Amino acid sequence: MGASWWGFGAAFLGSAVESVEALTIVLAVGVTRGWRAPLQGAVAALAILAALVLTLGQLLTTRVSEAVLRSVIGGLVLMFGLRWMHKAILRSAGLIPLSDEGARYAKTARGAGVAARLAGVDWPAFAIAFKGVFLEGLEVAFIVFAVAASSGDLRVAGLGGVAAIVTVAGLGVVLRHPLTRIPENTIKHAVGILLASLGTFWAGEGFGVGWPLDAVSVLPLLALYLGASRLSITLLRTPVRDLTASEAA
Amino acid sequence: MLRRLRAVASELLGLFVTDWLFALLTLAILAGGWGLSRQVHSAAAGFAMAAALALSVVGEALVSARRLRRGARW
Repeated sequence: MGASWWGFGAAFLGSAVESVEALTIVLAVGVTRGWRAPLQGAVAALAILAALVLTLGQLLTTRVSEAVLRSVIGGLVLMFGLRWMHKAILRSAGLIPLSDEGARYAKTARGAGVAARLAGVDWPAFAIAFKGVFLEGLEVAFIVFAVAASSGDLRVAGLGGVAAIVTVAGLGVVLRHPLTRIPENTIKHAVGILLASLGTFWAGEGFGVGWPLDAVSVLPLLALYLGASRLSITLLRTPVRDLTASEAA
Repeated sequence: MLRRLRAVASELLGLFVTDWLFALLTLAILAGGWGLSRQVHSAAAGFAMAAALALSVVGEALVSARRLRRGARW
């Protein structure tokens, strides 16, 4: 039960961040060229992704042994989470720029504005929305699929993913503006830490590690990865401060 | 067609790998954790694996920062 709720949280937060990026692309194309084609593109991409998750999810959870599945999927979730953590650490330390939904919106709108309509059908608008939703959705699909395969509960993970998509889409419909105020880096950092912890826990279970108190063991893992993140950010910020001080002097 | 397949494969791989060296280090730590858990069969093996992974996070951040400060592109 505990693992299911960890899974729901990971699926919801991870899917929400990626849905914000997909929403920005659909909004930019819709506002620039009209709503029909980009909405069709988004729905087509979502349908393909849902089919992928259901087919692969069912196939893997019924055909592959649980230990192998947990080891492999746990390892993949861990690598996925570490990648998000790494990016978030570098962004928090100011070494790479923060993700800017406003800039992404403006760039997509510029690109969509100059593309021509072909044979009466707005294929460019369809294609931009399809590609954006499909690529961002691949990450959502992976998170949902991995959480489902590892926790053995496709319903809870799927519910987390769908709840995130519906929430973000609902906000998009109400605001008709990219969600620039969402602290994307902070959420990605938190989700990265959560996924790395869950990935370690599941991979360990697959390897035969007897975690004490079952899913409660995720808490010390969370603390460990959070500590590593904070330490990294502190270490990365220190030389920059020294440099600024010496320049000021 | 081949170009598109390559682009999709690289997109998929990009979900998990930022730097090949550290991806291989992560896999090596996982393999070590698997070997250790075969021997020990206790939570200590899992926590040792997690500690090594957490240290690798700090190491990767420091190496990336050094590269970026030397002008490498992200």
